[in-house]
Amino acid sequence: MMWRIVLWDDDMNTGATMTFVLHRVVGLTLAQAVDLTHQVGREGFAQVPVIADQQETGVVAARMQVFGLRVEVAPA
Amino acid sequence: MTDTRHAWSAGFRYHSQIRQAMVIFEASLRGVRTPTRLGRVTLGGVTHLFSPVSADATIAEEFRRAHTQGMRAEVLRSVQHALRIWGRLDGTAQEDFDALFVALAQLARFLQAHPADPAIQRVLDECLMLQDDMSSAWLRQQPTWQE
Repeated sequence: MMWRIVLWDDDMNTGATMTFVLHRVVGLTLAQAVDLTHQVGREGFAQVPVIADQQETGVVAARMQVFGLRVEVAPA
Repeated sequence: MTDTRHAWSAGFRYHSQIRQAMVIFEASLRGVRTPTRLGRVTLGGVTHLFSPVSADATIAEEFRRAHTQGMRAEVLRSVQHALRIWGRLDGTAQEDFDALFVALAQLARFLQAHPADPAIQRVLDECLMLQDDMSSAWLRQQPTWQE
């Protein structure tokens, strides 16, 4: 089964910190990271373009949490 | 053109209260039970660093079992790294940046979990401002960055 990550808006991160983590930790291009950050700002959440098995999705979600992002994991 | 190479580390020399809170946070992460005061508030006792990743209790628990210990260890390493290099940053090492970023992010959440107090709120706000300044400077250094 494949899993996905949802990134939620929060009251601690700014656009710059969120974009940094999406680029540096998740590995999105800067353009993708900026777009996703804007989507979170507009809609309150966005799906991170990482679809993988539970273990790999968990590793990415854990790194995002360590870097201070609010994430949700769910079956794709 | 402005040289931003050192910009992200410049602020850290002047935030002694953040450093003081970071020392308390580090001890708390190691399980030191002695409560320590920062201003009028007693800090200590890290219980839950991370929010559950799902409303589904089974998914949240599986994630917690698989990852939380490693995540806490990474936060502790980052905080200890941040304290080692505090005040003598040259703003060039990515590992320094990452450690400071994680340390500030998690310190802010640690402070937020304590009762509202103006002094604590000021330190928390400074953490978030520093983190934002660092990130903005870091992004401006990227070759493909466009304002």
